[in-house]
Amino acid sequence: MQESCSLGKLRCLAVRLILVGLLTLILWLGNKQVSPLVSTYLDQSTQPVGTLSNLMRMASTSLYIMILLIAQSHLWASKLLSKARQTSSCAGNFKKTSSQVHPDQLTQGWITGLLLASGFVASLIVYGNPRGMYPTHFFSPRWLLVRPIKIEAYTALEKSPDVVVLGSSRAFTIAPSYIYETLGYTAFNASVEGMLPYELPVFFRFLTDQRDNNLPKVLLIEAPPYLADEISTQRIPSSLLPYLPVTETLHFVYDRYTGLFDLEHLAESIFSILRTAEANVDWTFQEDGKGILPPTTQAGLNQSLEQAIANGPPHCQFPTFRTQSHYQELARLAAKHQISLVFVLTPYHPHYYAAHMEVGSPFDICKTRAMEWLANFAGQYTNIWVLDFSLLERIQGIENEQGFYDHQHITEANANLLINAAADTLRQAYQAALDLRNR
Amino acid sequence: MKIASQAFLLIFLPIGLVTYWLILRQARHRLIFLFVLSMLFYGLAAGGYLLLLISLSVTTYWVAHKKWFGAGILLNLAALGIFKIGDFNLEHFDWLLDALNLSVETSLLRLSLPLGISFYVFRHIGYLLDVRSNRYPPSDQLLLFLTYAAYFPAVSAGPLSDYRQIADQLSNIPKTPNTEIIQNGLLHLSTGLAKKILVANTLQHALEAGLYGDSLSKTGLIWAWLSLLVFAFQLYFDFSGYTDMAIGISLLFGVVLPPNFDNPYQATNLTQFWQRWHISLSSWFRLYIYLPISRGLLRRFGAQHKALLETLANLATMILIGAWHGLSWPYLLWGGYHGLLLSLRPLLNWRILSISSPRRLAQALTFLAILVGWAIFLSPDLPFANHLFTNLAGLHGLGAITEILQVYDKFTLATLVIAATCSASGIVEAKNIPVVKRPWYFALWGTIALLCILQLAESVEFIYVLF
Repeated sequence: MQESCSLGKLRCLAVRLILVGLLTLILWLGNKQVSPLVSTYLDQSTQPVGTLSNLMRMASTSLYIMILLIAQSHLWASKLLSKARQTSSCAGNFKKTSSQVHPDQLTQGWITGLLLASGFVASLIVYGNPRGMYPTHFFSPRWLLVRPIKIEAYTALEKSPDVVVLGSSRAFTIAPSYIYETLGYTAFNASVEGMLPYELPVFFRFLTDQRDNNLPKVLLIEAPPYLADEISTQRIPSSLLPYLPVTETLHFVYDRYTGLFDLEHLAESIFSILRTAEANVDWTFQEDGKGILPPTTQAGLNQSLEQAIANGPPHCQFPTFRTQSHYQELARLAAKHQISLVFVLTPYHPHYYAAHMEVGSPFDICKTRAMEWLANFAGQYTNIWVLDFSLLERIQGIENEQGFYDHQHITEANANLLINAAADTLRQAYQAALDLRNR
Repeated sequence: MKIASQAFLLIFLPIGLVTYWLILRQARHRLIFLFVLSMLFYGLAAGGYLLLLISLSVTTYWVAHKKWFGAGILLNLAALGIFKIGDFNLEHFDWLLDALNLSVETSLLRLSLPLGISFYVFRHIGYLLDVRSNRYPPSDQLLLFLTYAAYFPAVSAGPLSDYRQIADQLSNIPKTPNTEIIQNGLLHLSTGLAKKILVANTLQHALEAGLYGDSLSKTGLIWAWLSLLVFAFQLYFDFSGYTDMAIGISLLFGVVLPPNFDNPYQATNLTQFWQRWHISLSSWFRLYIYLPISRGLLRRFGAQHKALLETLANLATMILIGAWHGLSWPYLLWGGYHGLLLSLRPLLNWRILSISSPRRLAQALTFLAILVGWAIFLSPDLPFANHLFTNLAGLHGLGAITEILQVYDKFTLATLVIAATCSASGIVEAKNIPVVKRPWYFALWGTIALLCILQLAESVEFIYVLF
């Protein structure tokens, strides 16, 4: 009896060792064989990150089913085992039965599973860092991250420029050198991709913090008031943290924390690691902040226009209380630092404009209300102007591929024409800032 | 904030649990903390409507002491009515307005429905009726009552619970957590997340394209029945997933909430279905609506018309349940449909729906009857309902498989099969899943919970929160 019990225990041990060995072999083989296959599969996929995240969803569902099957099998096995125990002489030698597992160990097991899985996922995300949200730089970010580039370039300037361009990628091609040639004002282009209304006062504080006695005179701001009232700090670099108000700082911390628990983010990270992906961007930037994109062809422009028209008009909403408060804060800071603000809408391509923005269209009605609000707002101050160049003819601009990259991004040629059209206003704004400082 | 959100699961809940069990030691402090958590949760989720919740709850507490039960019930119903009707569009009654030659603004107040109002109003009314019938005395602790009314795991969409059940537990919060209850809570939370995120969300995304997106252009028997099945399991997994999460979260704080689902699609007749689907709501309606109506009718008209009177009581109750979901024709018709079918058994002694039939056949027929009801329930308007029913009847042919596979891909179909199999086996309810008392098993559930949390960013709102 004793001997058969020992053999039984040895058998158990042997089975467990074999299982562990098999698992290790599978993982090793998997890594050697499956990773190249996955890489090839991703190469052939038109949306590799989406494919990866779908695969992970399927894997999650499979794990759920597996757990249910394990539970059900265990129930059946337990019933068989309890029958076997009743007849077995080894009953007393069975070590850890389920009743002997301390209840706390089960809770600890759950927490351990959660923490181990979280740690693994978070490590992958931080290691891949596809969105540049964390201080690791093993791989190029998959997003266009212009803020750190512009912040570094601006900080490196010896002297504050007279004019600073703020706004979104629609203002990337406004050339500081052309502003200097035309108006004699030094300039810097601090526009960043997807700038949101809440970032205006943040960037303002950053700009004015650089050189106390020598501030810019004019901010040329491409930031339509009808933008979405979002606060997303995913693209905000840590160098801007000191300039964020408390609520946005909390958002910053929240975004980075929850960013570690995002399936899409994980998929992007794995993709970056597997493919050593290059940044998904074409823009490069000069020292003065001007953005350069490889020129497009007329066919490329037409294709882009077709796609944009099919996607519908841009989002438009009347400025919410929160958006209005950002503009008010900006005006307060401008008054305090004696800086003039010139808000400008850059042109949309005429075909896109005709498709979605003509007078009477829903977008036009919304935009008109928003711009009326902005005009009323500006009218309360002597140092704020508004220029609406959303119609190309207002800058006598170029319609073909010489003037546009797509439905809303203008080339340097059109950006120069915009500066020509805004020249008088910029001079007035510059003078107004000087007058404020000379009082 | 929602309970299926990263903000809740990654910040609110861990901080709440650590504070509750590790920092606060006294039962009274823990009760106050639960109250604060509930207020904070509701405030973050519903904003200014927190004042409505507090004022209604305080008023209910006060009128119970004054024995002004009628006034309290009317006030709560008025609050519910204003928001339900405020969201109601009089276009549904165009035909009546035309007949009466009336020209009325067809959209009324257009108020957004405060989060959980349907549920906390019912809690208040249930409390008032219980105190009135001397089931228990009125609460003498305002804090206890407010915590019960606004209890955050259940405030959004239930389950509804008896005041005494919850108050007893809140008054006797143990010093140390009961390990079995905590384990149960973790399993419920993990199961609920899996059902909601892995199954219900997948089916919901498929429905957006397959059923609601440009639906009038889709035809075919296969499309119609497939869409109906997807809807039926999406609704079940969504709501039961939410309930499991709510129960699990509550268990983590040591409070046991009543179950809300018990394998409803395994019911052998519709009476059993309503004993297994949204149990807390159907129990509430049975106790406070159906029984008083049927008793009143019997007293008034006598027992000789018992079957007819019970039919009327059934119809009235079920139509009210339909109206509770929304004041629109599909919900009212759905309620009436169930009321009629529930009444058919005693009225016609229809054996085919009785328990004496072979169990699987009875389950299949009951499931079919439920599906037809869902077809009414899910129709946003009559043209859609007409289109769906004509396709269910096969009047537009079978439909092209390739087109169907474009909207319901293989992953969706696999998820549907999983959902159906789990429902058929009974393993879908958290309380029915066999527990393997091994740490590695619980670790797997912890991993599943994390995998679900990763997918929360794209999660769809729980459907019953919208009611």
